[in-house]
Amino acid sequence: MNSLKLTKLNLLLAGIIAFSLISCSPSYIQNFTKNENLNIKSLNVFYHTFTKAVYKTTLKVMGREMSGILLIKKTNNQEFRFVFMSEIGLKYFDLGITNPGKNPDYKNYYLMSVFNRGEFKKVLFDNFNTLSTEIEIDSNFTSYSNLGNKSLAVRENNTKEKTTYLTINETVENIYWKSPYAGKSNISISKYENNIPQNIEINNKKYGVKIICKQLEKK
Amino acid sequence: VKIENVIDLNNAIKENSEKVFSIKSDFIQQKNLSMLEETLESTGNFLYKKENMVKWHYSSPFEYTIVVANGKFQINNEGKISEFDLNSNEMFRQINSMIVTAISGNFINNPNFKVEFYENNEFYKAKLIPKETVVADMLSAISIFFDKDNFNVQKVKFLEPGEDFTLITFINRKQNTDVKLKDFNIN
Repeated sequence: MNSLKLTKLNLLLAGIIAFSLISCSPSYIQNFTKNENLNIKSLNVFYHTFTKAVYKTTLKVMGREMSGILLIKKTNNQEFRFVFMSEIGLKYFDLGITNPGKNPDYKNYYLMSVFNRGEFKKVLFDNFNTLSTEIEIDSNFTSYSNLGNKSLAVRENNTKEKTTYLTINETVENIYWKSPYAGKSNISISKYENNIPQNIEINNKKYGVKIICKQLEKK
Repeated sequence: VKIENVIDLNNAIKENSEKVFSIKSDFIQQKNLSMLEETLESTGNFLYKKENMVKWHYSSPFEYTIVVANGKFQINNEGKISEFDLNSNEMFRQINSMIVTAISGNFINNPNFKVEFYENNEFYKAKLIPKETVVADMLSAISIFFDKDNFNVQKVKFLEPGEDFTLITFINRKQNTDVKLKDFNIN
């Protein structure tokens, strides 16, 4: 009798644990299983040799839409600059990030006053920081793979600002990050040519920010 | 060199701008980001019809058209058309006002700008310094370069706070040709 109770209890506990595991996994890695044999050492969107890229860009924020050109440039002092301007040359913002990663230095070179309100600037900086970061895959990350190991995922452990990278052939295809103050962002990256992504799409639903970039030229 | 006695020049520019009823021109736009040592170039053609009808058609690096006419601001962005009421958007209204002012040369006695004149061998330069905060936040000055022979606007330079600027050079400029209302169709 006791043995039967124990078995039922075990089944119940196993069920709860399994449910917890499934429900804790975000949808984008629910088809993935942990795989400790992956040999990914680092991941980046912009390769070491990257100098600059120019994108035709649409920015949607709080129901307003602006289009123009986004220049992403890595300067000689390793600063990533993100300059967005309208087709007629009017500059909307010019933001710089040095030391991208966990402790970045943000510099606001220019932000048109109409944008300099609320959390918009912070959302821009944080997303651009995530794009610029080269991450070293160490014990702080858990690796996952799906069937056939075609897609891989690495996910930070035990951090409030959790970032998950989805990769195919070690090129980053999606980045999901969330933080207590900035909500969740999804960055989709596709069509790499010469190690530069042709398309980048950033989506932060909490602050209604969407940025769609399509590359114009590459150097 | 700064010109101190501007009465004759003022009169000549004003007289010429009053004669301009339409402009048809190609243009080269160079966006200069000085700290980044980058220049981004766009090209296209431009139409102006008195009083306030303006069309910018960019053909490179991508197709993009802006039409400002009848109090409306229309954009054709690779086939996607959007429209704004000019008065509902202070920023667009100011930008358009600046563009029309600069291109038509019609800035004499405009209370929104402080004007200074300069000259070299080739051009007269009018430097417009905006007084309104909305404009001054975006632009520190607008420099308009006039041909010394006929007082036509050859170049316009929009200077931003800092050292960045946008230079628009007009080429193949034709004045007072037959520019029709239908030419301002956004499609």
